[in-house]
Amino acid sequence: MLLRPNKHDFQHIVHDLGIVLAVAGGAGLFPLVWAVGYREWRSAADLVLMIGVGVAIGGATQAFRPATRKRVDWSHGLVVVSLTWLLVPAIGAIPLYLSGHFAGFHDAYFDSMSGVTTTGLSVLQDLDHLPVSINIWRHTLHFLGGQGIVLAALTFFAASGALSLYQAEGRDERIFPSVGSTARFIWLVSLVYLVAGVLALTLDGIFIQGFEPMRALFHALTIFMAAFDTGGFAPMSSSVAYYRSGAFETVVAVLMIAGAMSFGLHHAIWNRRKGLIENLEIRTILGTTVLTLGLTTVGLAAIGAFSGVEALTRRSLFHVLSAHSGTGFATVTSAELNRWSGLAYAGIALAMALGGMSSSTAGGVKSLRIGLTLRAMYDTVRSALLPDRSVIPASYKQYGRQRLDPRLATSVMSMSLLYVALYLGGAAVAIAYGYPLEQALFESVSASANVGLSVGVTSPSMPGLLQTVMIAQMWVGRLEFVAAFALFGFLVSWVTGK
Amino acid sequence: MKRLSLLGIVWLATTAATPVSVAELDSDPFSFDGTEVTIVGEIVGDYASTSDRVWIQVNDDAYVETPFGDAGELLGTNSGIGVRLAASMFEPEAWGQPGGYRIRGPIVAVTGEFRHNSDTDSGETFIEARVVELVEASRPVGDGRTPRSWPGPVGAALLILGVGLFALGRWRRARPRL
Repeated sequence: MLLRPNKHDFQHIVHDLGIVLAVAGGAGLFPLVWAVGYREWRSAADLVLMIGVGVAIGGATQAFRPATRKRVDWSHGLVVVSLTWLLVPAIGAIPLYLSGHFAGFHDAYFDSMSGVTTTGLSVLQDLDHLPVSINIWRHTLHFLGGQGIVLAALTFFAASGALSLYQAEGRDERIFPSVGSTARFIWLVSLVYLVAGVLALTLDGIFIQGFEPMRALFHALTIFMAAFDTGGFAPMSSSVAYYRSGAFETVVAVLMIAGAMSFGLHHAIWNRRKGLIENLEIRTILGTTVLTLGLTTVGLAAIGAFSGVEALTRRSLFHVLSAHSGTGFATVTSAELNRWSGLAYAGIALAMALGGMSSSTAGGVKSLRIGLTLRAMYDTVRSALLPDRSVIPASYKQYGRQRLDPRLATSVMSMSLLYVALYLGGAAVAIAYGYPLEQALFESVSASANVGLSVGVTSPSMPGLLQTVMIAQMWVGRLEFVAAFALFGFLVSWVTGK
Repeated sequence: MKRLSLLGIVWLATTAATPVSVAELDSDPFSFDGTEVTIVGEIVGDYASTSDRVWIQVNDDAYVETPFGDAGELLGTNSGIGVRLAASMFEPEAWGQPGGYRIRGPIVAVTGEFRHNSDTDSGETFIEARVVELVEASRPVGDGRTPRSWPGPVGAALLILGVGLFALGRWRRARPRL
C-alpha cells in the first residue's frame, strides 16, 4: 500500500482486524462473571451473544487466511486501527442495546464509542436501575479503550506488524526495544494501579462512606476503570457527587493524574530518573494546570459559587483535573456546571481543549504539542529580533535534548489547528440546532478531546445528526486524525484505483 | 401507581414544608438555599451508613411513578439529590433494599433544609433531613425488557463456531505442505 490496495492488503487488514475483534469480544468474559454472580441471566445471555459475535468474526478471519503473508507496513496498521475503533464499539453496543436502556442501536453505539474512546458522554436512560454486569461492561469498555485495544490484542497474539499497529494507536513511545516488552510494562503499571486504586477506594467505601463490602468493591472497580483510563462513566447518575468523601475524591484525583501521564513518564518515575522537571511536556502541563486552575478558581469566586476557601479549592481543583486529564467526572450537576460562566467556563473549557500528555489515554491537543508550538513561536520571534547571521539552536528537553526542526514544528502546529477545527466544526452543528454558543462549544470540545463533561447538550433527546457528529468527533479525537485520514485515503484509492 | 400518588399527596398535605421537585431545586438553587423543602422520591443505589449519619440518594424522576422494570418504558435520564439523615431516622428493615436492577426502591417523603454548595460541608449540595417518612417500601420489579430466548443459544453457537474456526486455521497452517 498505498497505491490501489490489492488482495494482499485486504488480507492483512482483515486478519489483524479479526484478532482484535476476537479479543474485544473476549473481554466480555469479565462482566459475564458478574452477571453469573448476580444472577442476571438475561444480561449473561446478551454478553454471551457479544462474545460469540467477536470470536466468530475473529475465527473466520483466521481460518481462511493464506499461509504466506506479505510484510505489514505502517499504512496497514493505520487502517486496521481506524477500523478497529469503529467496529469494536459496534460489537460492544450489543449488550448495551439489548439491556433495553437505550432508545435504539444508534444510542447504544454512541455510548459504546464514548466508552471505548474514554470520553464518558452518555445517552443511557435510567442508569440507576441498570444491571450490575452491564454497568461493569460499560466501564470495561473504558479499560479496553484506555489500555489500547490493539495493545491488548498484541499482548495475546504476536502480530507481524506489531510496531506499526502499536504506533498507529497513538502510542509514540517505545519504552523497551520490543513492542511486546513495552506492552508488558504497560500492563504491569496498570496492574499496580489497579490493585492499589481498587483497594483504596474499596476501603474508603466500607469504612468512610459505609457501603456494604460487595457494593464498595463494585463502586471501586468501576470508578477505577473510569478514572485511570480517563473515561468518565460512573455507575450512578450523579457521577462522583454520589460519593461524599474527600478521601475518595483524592484517590480519584490521583488516578486521573496517573491516567493522563504517558507510560514513558511512568517508566521514568519507576526507575527514579532525575531531571524530569526539565522535560518540555512536564513543564507545559504544570503550566497549563496552574493557568486553568487559576482561571477556574477566580471565576468561581467571582460568580460567588462557593464562598468558603475549602469548598472553592476542592471543587475547582477536582474539575480542572477532571477536564485536563480528559476524564470528565463531575461532583456537581450539569445545571450547576452550566452556571459556571465567565472565567470559570474558560478555565474548564481550556483545560479540556489542551488535554493531557502524549501516549496517554487523555485526549485533546496534548501538552507536548502545546509546548512545541509555544517553543517554535518563541524561536521565531527570537530569530526575528536577533541579527540575520545569528544562529539559534532550536532544541528542547524531553528525556534528553531533542532537535526542534522546522518539519516537526509545522507538524505539531498543523495538528493543533486540526483540533481547533474539530472543536469549532462540532460546535457549528450544535449551534445550527439552536444550542447557545457557550454550550455548543463546551460540548464539542468535550466530545473531541474525549473528556465527557456535559452542560446538558448530550441527552437521549438530542438530534440524531448531532449525535452522529459527536460520534465522529470522539473517534477522530481518539485517533488523533492520522489513522482516520489513512482510512479515508485507503477507501479513496480503492474506489478510484489510484 | 395511583396508590403511590395518593399516599404522596396525602403525606404532602399534612406537612408544612414547600413540596418541590429536584428539577426545581436544580434550576434555581439560590432561592431555595437554606429553606425547608419536601421531596418525594425513590431511594436508589446504597445506604451509606455510619454510626452517626446515613447518606441516601433520592430520585424523583419519571421512574418513581412508572418503574422501568414494570413498564419497560424509557422516560429519560435520572434526576435526584443526596439526603443526609441522622442514624436514628434510618429504618432499613421497614424500607427494604434501595432501588437498582429489578428493585423499585423505597419511596420516601423527605423534609429538611436544602443546602446549595454548602461551605460547611465542602461545597456539597444536599438536603439535611429533619423528617423521613416511608411512603411505600421497596418491591421487586421485572427487568423491563422484551423477553427474548435467542441471544444465549445464538451466542453459544457463534462461540463454538468461532473457536472451531480458530482451530481450523491453526490446523491449516500447521499441516505439511506438498
